[in-house]
Amino acid sequence: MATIEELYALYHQPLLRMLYRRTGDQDRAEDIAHETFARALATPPDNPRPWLFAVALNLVRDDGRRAVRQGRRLQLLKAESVPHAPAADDEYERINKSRMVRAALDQLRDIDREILLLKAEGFDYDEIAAATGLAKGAIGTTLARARRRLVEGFRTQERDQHAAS
Amino acid sequence: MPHLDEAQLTALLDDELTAPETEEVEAHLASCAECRQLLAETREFFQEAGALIDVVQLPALAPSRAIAPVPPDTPAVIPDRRMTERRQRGRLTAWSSLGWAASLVLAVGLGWFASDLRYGTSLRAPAADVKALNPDQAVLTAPSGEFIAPVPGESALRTPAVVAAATEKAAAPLRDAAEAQRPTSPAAAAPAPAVGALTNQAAPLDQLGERRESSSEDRGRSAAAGNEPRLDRTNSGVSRRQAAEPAGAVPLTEVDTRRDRASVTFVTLEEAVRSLGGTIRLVDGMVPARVETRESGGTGGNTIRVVYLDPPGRELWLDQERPPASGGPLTRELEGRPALLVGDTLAVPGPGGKWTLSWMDQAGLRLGLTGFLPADSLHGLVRRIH
Repeated sequence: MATIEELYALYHQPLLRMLYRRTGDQDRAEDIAHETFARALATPPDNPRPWLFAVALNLVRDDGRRAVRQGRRLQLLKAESVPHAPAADDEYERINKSRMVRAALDQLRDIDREILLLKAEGFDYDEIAAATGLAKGAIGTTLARARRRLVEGFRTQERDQHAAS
Repeated sequence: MPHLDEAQLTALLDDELTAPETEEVEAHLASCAECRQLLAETREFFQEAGALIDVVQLPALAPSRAIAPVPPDTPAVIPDRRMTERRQRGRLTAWSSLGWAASLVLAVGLGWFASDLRYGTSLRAPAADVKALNPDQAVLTAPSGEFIAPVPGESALRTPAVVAAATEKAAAPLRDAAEAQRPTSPAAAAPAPAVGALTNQAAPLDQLGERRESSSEDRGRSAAAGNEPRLDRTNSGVSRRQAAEPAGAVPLTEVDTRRDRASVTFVTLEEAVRSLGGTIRLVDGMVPARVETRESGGTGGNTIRVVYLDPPGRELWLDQERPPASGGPLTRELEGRPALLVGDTLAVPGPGGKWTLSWMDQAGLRLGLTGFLPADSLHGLVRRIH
């Protein structure tokens, strides 16, 4: 069984990325990731990858927002007033597109969004089924629907933005 | 074969079909234009959705949040144990209240220390003034140059029995582990020969259990071997404390997590300032109990430890060292410990409720504050370090 250090090295970054895509809040994603690994430390999982992502998604769904924010204890305390350079045009475009994708993701059903994000992290159907509790046979259909809705939602965002500008 | 559905085509694109299934699907696609059209649409969503999700990446680590890779023997994850326990026990409010109560107790304690002028005010001078201290006036330095620790029992808050009981409870697991690791050979377990009176505490400090052993058994061994540390100061708080404590009482010194411990020497503030290259950091409003230097194994330099006592009598350590400049202007890494950028504060929990905050200040000193206080309380103290 992998040690917690090995699990952290393997899965922290993918977990954090998935959580950020899921929540759109980096601080919250970091909090939930920390809480997830704290639980893994207390109860080492047999099948760690689906377990870690399932716990993280449960934290997001259930009491993540309230409990994590209220109980947050920073491990890496934010530095004070480090100036950031203004975003260049292409960086602005990327941020804007990221915002629209986030908005499109938010419009998906929870299960669609979660399956999509797990697939983006390289999960196969078995792992997705283990992490979400969905039947393996339903995953293909759900994924197809989620992808289509995401793309359509993004296109709608683009049209709205063009119309507004 | 009937037409393919979207789930089959998605599984094909996701490489989730078995080899026979793949052959079957591809054979159908070769002969069915309608399914090929559906596959093209599915592939378009497949590719575009993947590209869209890839757009959403974690924001690049700003310099203030970037830290170097964590060394293997550093806890890779810093579990928020308090949060976990709170959730498990459903006592969110109670723990929050305890945190506030601890902060309040700390504030009262600091006030008590600030009002205690037994050791004079010279040590509260800013760093720039420390160099001007007259050694003869440095109240922590006895005429012999030895450090004089504060006298226990003068504070109602510091009842040895209470402290010993609390420490005993917190240290039990550590002591067990320490005893398991302690050398069984008396020769191996005996303390290193004392180098003068001031190095007699070079006994193992990394485990409370070890230290406890050294404070009782090793003293006995040393005395029997004619190697009794010189603690014959008539006005020494250390002597009085040891005399007042019953045999086996837990010393107030707590766990030392430094991996690179070597010899520990008590020094005056002036010596510490010289060792650090002309400056030293102190906690504003608190009176140091003693100052130590510790050899930093791999860096070739010294770590200065300014030791304070909190109201219950537990030690607060303010460690400071000047890292070698080889790590670049911002990132400095010491012996595998996480490199820090100026402005970052790394909080690491330790056993028994201990926390250590580490940070790099603007002058390039790497500092660490360790104590049995919540991280946010320690962080409050950090703001008072100048």
